[in-house]
Amino acid sequence: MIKYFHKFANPVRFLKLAIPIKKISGIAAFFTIFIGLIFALLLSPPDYQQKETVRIMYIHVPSAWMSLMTYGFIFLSSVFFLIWRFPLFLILAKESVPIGIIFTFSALISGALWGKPTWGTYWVWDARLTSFLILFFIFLGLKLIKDTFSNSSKGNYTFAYLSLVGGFNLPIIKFSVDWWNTLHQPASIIRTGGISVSNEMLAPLFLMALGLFFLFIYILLVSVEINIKEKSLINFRDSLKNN
Amino acid sequence: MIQNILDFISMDGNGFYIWISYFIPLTLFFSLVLVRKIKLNKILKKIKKNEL
Repeated sequence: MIKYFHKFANPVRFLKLAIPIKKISGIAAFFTIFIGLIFALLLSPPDYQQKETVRIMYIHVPSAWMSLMTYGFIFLSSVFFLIWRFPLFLILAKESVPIGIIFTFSALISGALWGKPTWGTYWVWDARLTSFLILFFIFLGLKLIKDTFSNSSKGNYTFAYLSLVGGFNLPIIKFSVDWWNTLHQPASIIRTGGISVSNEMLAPLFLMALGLFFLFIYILLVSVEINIKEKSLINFRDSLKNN
Repeated sequence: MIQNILDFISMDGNGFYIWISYFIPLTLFFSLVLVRKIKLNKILKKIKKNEL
């Protein structure tokens, strides 16, 4: 595994692999989200209780899943960076932060808009909503560190350690609906009793989740390409100055 | 036909919540993609210039 990491820790070699994956994931994201939206807004049936408002689920739930996945990815990349010291892991972690902010904000805003017609309020301070808001603030904190100490080794380590500390929030978010009494409904997909959602609703849900996953890969790889090429441009200019 | 379109937009009286909840995230995703693409193109142009 370390040999594999060593092979792709070289930015040029990494970009050779990343550029075709980026193109494929960009196209896949566009088509999967497009088909997902058709299912979500047109073909899926209304819920017997929530009627048409259930359609908000197809953007809210995948956004929430992706924000948790993005944080999990940042957490793992930071762990790998601290163990093996490959700068590429740090670049991957840092470039995931803005994507995580947008996924988390989307989940929060669509959740609030779903809450008003179903619960009668945009916001309640229950465990799930509050822990998710904390995740949003952790993302903002990481962005602040990333932008403030962009080129210092201390800043890099502060970023990696803070992302590890923020990892405590992930299990709290997942199990908040089981540990406390919340207005937010309990898990209906990843739970011990099996999936409690009908297949007609699962199709748009998974299509949108897959689309957002491809979108994450696409934006991440574009961002990493920017980061690596920007650095090579700076190095090139520095070498010209020195000559 | 027009009535069907109006019913679809109204979403049983909840159109405001449903359309806004899709519009905001999709606009944010699209904006992030656009900003990154523009930045990448600028850098690629600069690299090309330096190579020339």
